[in-house]
Amino acid sequence: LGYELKLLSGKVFSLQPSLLNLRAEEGRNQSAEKERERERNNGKVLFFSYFKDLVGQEVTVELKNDLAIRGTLHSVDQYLNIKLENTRVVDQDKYPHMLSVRNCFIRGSVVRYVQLPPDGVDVDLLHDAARREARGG
Amino acid sequence: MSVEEDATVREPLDLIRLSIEERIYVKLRSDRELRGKLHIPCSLSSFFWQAFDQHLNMILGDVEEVITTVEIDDETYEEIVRKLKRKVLFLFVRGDGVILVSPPLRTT
Repeated sequence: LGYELKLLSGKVFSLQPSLLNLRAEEGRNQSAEKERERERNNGKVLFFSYFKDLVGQEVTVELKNDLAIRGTLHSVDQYLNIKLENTRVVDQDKYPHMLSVRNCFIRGSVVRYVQLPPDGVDVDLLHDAARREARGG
Repeated sequence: MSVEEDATVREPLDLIRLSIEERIYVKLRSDRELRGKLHIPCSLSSFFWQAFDQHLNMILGDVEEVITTVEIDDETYEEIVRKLKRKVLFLFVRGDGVILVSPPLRTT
């Protein structure tokens, strides 16, 4: 005869005559929760790491005001603010006010898209980033 | 109940995680829609490189963006103009513009 107790925290305990069973379940519950916690936490720095690996590549940043800037990714930070070098505005006739701008800092919150390198992303870089996340997370 | 596994849907973000490596439809602000593949370049045994995070920043592949603009003719009522913009390969979408994420609609 066993009972199941569902606590508010979401842990499920099985009350069985054997105490060993109880501890085993709890252990599994905890590790499952830790796994989920880790997965959620990874998301916090995930794209930051991804962009760090993308430094040096040519990207096109499209802003929320429809301005599109093409340049070399110089640096990025935790807020996904972007620094671009060697920038050119994509539609220069439409946005002439940035003709002479060659380097810029873009606040992360005004970015709509970042168009990543047309030749695709280096999968090995991503593999490394993923592995680093797994170790650090 | 069995012990929770990775495939258990516990929160809304898990629903999106089910769509990893699948095509999805994303509705954005400013009357934009994206159809693309929620990209996950690698998945190690116990770790998912997530193609999105809790802000709904995401990386899509083979994306097609549709911007819908409505022009109103003076005589008739409405004319709906659709502009198609195609993006190459990979696109990072910032999460604060995302309204909804869903499996692709079975229309066009």
